[in-house]
Amino acid sequence: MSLQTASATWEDLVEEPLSAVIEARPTLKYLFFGGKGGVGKTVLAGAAALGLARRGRRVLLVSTNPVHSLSGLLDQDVFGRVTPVRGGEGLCALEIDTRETIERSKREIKEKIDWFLKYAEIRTRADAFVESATMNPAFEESAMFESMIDVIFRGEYEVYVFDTAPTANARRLLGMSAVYSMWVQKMVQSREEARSLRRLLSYSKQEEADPLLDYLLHFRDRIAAAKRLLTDTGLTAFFFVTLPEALPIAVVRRFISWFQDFGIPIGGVIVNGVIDRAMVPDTAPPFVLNRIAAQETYREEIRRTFPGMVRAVIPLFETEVRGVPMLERVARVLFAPGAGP
Amino acid sequence: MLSPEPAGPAPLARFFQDFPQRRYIMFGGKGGLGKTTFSAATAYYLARRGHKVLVFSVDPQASLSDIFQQDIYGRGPVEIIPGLFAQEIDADRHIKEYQDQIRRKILEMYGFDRVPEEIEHYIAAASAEPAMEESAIFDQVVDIVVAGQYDYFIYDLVPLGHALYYLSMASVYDEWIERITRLRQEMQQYAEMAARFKGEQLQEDLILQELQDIRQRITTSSRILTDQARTAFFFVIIPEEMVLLDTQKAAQLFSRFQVPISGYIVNRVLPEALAKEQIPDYLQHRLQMQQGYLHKISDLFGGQVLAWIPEFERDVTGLEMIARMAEAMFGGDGGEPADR
Repeated sequence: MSLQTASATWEDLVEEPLSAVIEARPTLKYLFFGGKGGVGKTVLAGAAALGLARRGRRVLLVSTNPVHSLSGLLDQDVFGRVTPVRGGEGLCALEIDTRETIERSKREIKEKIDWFLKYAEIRTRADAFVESATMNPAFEESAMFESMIDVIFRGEYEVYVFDTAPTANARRLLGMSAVYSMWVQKMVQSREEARSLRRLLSYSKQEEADPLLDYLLHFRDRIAAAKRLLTDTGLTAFFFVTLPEALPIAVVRRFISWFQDFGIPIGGVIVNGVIDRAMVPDTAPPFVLNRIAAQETYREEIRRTFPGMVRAVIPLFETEVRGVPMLERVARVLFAPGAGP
Repeated sequence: MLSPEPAGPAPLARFFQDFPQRRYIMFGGKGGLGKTTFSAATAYYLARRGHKVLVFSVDPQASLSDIFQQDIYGRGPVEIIPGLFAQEIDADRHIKEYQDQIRRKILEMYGFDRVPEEIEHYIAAASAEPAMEESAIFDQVVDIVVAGQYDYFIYDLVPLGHALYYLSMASVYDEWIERITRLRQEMQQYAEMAARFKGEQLQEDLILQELQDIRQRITTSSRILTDQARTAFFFVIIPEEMVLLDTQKAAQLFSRFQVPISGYIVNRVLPEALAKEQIPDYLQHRLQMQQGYLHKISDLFGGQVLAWIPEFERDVTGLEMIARMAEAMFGGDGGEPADR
């Protein structure tokens, strides 16, 4: 297989580099990084956060991934506590610990259900319901979403960069806000109807306080506020990371269309893991040359699939990216004016 | 450095020869390690040996469509080559159906044409929960498995954590039904009162029958998942530190769920011979690092490693590459790095 000299280069893919996007949207506050497993989301979220901190912003880098890898990337423990990143002036990092949120949610749910059962005059105990509600695997995901909103609402930072879970989760995570508001809307409606049904069935015809309704309304407002932030083009951008390979490209294509359905603003696509032709001698073994040739073909596919959306092309580095000095190198490429390797 | 290649068929091929009863095949592991590729290649191998095989995916990230290079999403089982059927489940559509179904069942259970609003909306809300996605999918999987019709079923599982959800789903589901049943008994008074309002009778038998059916389906499928005699669960790993750490954690979890691990498959092993050639720095470094991790894998999982799969010079898409992958997995060459 011969190496064809392609008419274009990787740099040509980048019409509008990340630095231009950041400059054009100075209000940008929430950056998410999504993509297939194993494409380097954590590395790029880390590099983006570091780059923004180097530009004088106060940045919080947050992992909402159920399987955290930030501590590994930064080479320091950032689990459960906002921790200043060593060597990263103006940058703090956090791997969200959902345990506390889960416990709190359990308590709250139990209170609500207890109250409701009493209200509905059903003689059963809430524990069983709480248990089955919280046994469900999506519960942790909801807790993660809740914690993420907490972090956002505390509002102590100028910019938040999220290393999201693999995109399928991210999509649900963000889709959830729509689900929640729909759900709460329904609940509120049903509470209203329940009141009248209850008046119909009860002997005492008096009005009473409704803590459940109050809670729901508060919850709805919170979710609505979060949704406003997450769908605000001025504040939020979702970046997708891909490799020059068929499957990661296909995944990003699929997710971009999903995110568009949710009305979540898409910041663009980052191409990671490109082998730098300049570093490879012509005498390299076929294994290497063929790999480069395959990447070339996908370059064209990326151009066709994500027209004008590529923000940076990141080379495959000679070692695994770990620690701030290495992240610094990634950040330099990520924010380069031409955003190419 | 690694255990010498034994004579005869590759360990993975021998596994399938030795355990013909194991018809439910699963590849587990973190995202991005090659589970979908292995699922496709295994299906290819078994189909070429004359079996009727279904490989199906429930992971929106697992692109069987992209691997086979034809659009099969939401189209039911599609025959790729003689005997090889592939299916990508359209989760969203099934969730909708599933939600309607649940709502109908609950409605029937209370024998109302309109249940008290709280309950109705609690159900609607529960259906909107992300957990419903899992259980809707799980339901689909149960349908496919219970229907039989194939010699082999190859599940392309979602990444690690989610695989466990599927397994735990069965017990959650079971639990849920039990609670509903109990709640029904407690709601009886309430229901009868409302029924008097409406002048209706409760259809006791029908409802209980329904619950029994659901439970039956669940136990069938979860029994399959944890049945050592009929299931083969392979763990996919690559020679990198983070992956090894996660895998050890995961392996413990699986044993908690009584999922028998049949063996490990090591993916992306760089050909040893490269070291002697003029290669770029990144490859030099990876080769060096890989050495240590390959040793570590041998120490940790030793005889349980059924295949060492070399890194290919391009990604595996299309039948030609799938055939090459099948060769690497099952052929005479198990992808064992050259002797050292």
